[in-house]
Amino acid sequence: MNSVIEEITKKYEPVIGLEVHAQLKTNTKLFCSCKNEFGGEPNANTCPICLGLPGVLPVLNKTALDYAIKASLALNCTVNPKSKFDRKQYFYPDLPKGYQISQYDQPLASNGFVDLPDGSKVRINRLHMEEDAGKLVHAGAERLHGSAYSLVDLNRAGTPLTEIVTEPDIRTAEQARLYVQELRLILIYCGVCDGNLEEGSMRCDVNISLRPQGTEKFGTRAEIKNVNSFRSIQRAIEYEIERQAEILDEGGEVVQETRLWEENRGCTITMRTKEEANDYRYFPEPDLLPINISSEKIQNIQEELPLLPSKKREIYSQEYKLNEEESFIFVEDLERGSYFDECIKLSNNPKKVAAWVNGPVAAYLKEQRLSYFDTKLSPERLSEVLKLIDDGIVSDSSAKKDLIPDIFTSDLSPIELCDKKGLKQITDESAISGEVEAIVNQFPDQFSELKSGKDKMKSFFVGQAMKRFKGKASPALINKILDKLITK
Amino acid sequence: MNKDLHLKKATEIAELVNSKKITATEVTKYFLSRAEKLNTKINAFNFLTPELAIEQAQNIDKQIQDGKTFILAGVPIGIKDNLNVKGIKTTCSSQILKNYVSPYESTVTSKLWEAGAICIGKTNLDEFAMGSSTEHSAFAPTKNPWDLQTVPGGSSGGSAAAVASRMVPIALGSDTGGSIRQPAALCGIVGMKPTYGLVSRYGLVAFASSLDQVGPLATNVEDASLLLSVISGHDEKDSTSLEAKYEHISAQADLKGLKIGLIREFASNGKGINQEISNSINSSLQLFKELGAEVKEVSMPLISEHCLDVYYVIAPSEASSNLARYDGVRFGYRDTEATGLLSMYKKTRATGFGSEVVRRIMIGTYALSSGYYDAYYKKAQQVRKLISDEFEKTFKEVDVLLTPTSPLTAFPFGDKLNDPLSMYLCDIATIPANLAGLPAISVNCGFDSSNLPIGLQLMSGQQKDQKLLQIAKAFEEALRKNNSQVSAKLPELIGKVN
Amino acid sequence: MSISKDELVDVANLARLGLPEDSLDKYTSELDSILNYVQRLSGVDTSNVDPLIHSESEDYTPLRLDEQNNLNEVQAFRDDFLDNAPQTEGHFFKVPKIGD
Repeated sequence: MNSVIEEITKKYEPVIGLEVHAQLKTNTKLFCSCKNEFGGEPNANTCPICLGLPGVLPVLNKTALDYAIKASLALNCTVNPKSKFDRKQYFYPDLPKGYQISQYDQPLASNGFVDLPDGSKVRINRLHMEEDAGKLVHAGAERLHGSAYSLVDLNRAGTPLTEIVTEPDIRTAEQARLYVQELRLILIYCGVCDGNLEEGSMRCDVNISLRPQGTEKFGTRAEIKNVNSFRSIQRAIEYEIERQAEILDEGGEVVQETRLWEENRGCTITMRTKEEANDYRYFPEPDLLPINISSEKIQNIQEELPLLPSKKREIYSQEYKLNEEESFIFVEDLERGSYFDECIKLSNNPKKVAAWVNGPVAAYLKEQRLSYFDTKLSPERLSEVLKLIDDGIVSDSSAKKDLIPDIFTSDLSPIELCDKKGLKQITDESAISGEVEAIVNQFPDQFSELKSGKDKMKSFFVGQAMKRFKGKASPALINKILDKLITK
Repeated sequence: MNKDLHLKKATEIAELVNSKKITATEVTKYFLSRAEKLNTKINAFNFLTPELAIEQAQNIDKQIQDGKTFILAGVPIGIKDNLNVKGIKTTCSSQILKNYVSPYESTVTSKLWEAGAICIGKTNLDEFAMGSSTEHSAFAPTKNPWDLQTVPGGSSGGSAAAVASRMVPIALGSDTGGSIRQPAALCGIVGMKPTYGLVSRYGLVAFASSLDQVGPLATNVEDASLLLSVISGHDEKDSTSLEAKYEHISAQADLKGLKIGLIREFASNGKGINQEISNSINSSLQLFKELGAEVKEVSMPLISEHCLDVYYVIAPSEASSNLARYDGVRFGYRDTEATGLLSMYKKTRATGFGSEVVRRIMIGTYALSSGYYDAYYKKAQQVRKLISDEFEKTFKEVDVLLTPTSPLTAFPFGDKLNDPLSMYLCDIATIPANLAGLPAISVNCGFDSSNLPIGLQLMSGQQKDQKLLQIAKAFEEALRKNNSQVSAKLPELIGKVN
Repeated sequence: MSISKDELVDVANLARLGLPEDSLDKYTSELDSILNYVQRLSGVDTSNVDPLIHSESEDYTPLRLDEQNNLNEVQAFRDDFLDNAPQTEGHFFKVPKIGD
């Protein structure tokens, strides 16, 4: 938290709520069978239904509903057995029918929460489904105003969204950012949204007001739109806290309005005031019947839910004893995390697996720009390597140094690779023990010192032995033999 | 034989074509030529589709040569111009869609073409189906074949007039508050609104989604039934579509013991119902009684007092939303003089929509706007629930309800054009079925002193469509036997062509 | 009086209808009489009555499998629909500048 904000929050408490629109990654749109994909040729993925031609009707996409239910459950919401669609009406060229099919007073799900990694909890007020609008290109100018005309592309029109609305539980810009990051991860884990903020797969509106510390009553809020990166969430909120505090300090009143975050200028500007607010004239969508969701369906989807980020963090730290950084990486980097999870099933040494995955494996893949499941080093193969190390057949350092890149590329098994490269350690105890005895006899004075408890001498003998075996003997084995000789 | 093809039923034409006594192409050319001549007088069609019709007919003929048969083999049909047929215009009789060519096919029309029907043209309507006289067509009004000085009713006035003048034996309409039944009554034919959800709405340009239903118009109950059997059935493109399918009736119902409910508040000259219509309804009731039916008076105070209020909140509310897509961006008319987006929207919509559509969008926008929603829209939906309950209760006592379809016979052009409320009152007897999603049918039951047709409406419980048509058929038969002069009557101008 | 001329203008703006100045009085009085008429609804006791949104017996919305539609159909459709557009640039729909 910067010092200015710190100073302000001694006096005022920010009250923040977020509305996040997340695109559901279905094959087709919410109410028609057009491909759910945009960015290509304008209006290529449109049909009479999503263009809103006269006479067409919507039919709900089953997968979109399933995804929305899945997201609801992952956010600990109650999925309402009965909900309905409504029409939200306004005119804009990117909204073909002149209304958006959304859910107004009976949303799909309500009353959930998200546990954040910092230990705080943000309650979810509701989650509902709605269709997205198309996109406008403003010709002849950088921005909307001043352009000579606009061009309409409806590829995105009708694609499925869920809108997730929090209670006004958030108190700091960092917490808001954390919430969106966690929400993003949850949706990605559920496989319902690709979580790409830059491309607009998740879009965020912020409601924010200030109240004097220690008071209950909410202040007048402003809604900030167009906040579409983790960085801008934090920046926009901090800007807005400063702006509102300044008004309040001067004895003024915050105006209830919708403001736009201007990323380039780093400020929010008035978009429309309460008086100019749209009268959306919501009413129940007559072309769709209510959505009924059986408890069996809810249970089935509940059972399909993957392990969610917060639970995963708990397992990594408490069960596997990974440190915070390791755990963070495996939770954030989904592919690396699931590779690790596969490896861990074949090993009983999570710390060692983590060190390997985050160390040599991650480094090699990053350098080669390869993904975790795309090389010959499958989780099974990595576990074979780790077993060779455990069994003393190859040393950890030599495996890290000499088996790469072959374990990623070669058709030979790890043990064959060790053979071929001469990395195998001598593990025949009798062969080693004869040589160690010879060394002990060669240095009787040093051995007596060791026997009398001077442990430092142990490394001297191990070093001597390693020299004889040109590094191929297992240090662990040499130690074991020395111990036997000492106690003899 | 060719000479009086237009006097044949659709079922008879299909039989002739299937048995290769006549080709679909011959039938098509016959009706096309008839429609071309008559349409100049009646304006039932916004446009004819001769190329499509001949292509379809030749295709059917080829398949029939190969031994196939079709339910509607070679039967010409008029399609209300708010149903999408791929590759041809869907105008909704609105300036805003004047040149709009549909790039896709409605479910109902694709079922028709599969069943061997031939598209003769798109029929006129009140703009976006909002109206009861077809005077609100942005192009030109349709005339009633019985009297060219009077309206054919609406909004499916084009379809009703086309069938009444035998330009086609059958037509499709849509019914949101009586738009099939009221013009059928005013034009002396059969028109039916099926149970909500029995027929797919995919491809029907939406007016009020929770009330709209596509249905048949025909010269007789059997043809209406056959047409309904073709277009009904579950459609996965319509989320409100029922699993049920309608089966064509094979016989009329035995009316012995049938309990007919007469709504007390609609009877005895109430609700502005014209005396001659009341008289005609009473003789029809007599006929029902003679066939063994029991007539029972029922009281339905909510329906008779509040159906218009509920309808004129719900229908405009849904319409205001459904018509938001006509914004000049992707299709249809755009005012090209506007330099900014906001003025483009406003000018496009103000000049593209006619005054009745504007009125309804305004009412609906108001009823849904913040601060008014509870008092108007929500309240209306609550009263709608009570109305639906009132029907449910009544149908425990009676099998069908009988009312006049319209309180008036065909009225002169301009009569109600400047008084929206009096126009709305035309729908008082038809609206309740839409509010409760019930099937309802209008059949001709006589004529007034000006030789204008009178329609009788029968309503039944949800998904009792088949029973309803069987009862209607029994009545139709009884009327034919009882008063063949009335039932055989045709508009005069019919004989003047072909 | 249910609706004033000022309110009517607000509603027209909300509905994006640029009504001509000389039609406002007419629309105001027509809407006023219709709204007055439907206000008879307020006399019905609807306490504890759930609104009826759908009049039908099916009670929940069907679901569609998440499968793409026929690609040939999509291509054919695309070739058609841009012909209906008032103004295009390449494969975009073109609209006047955002603003008044």
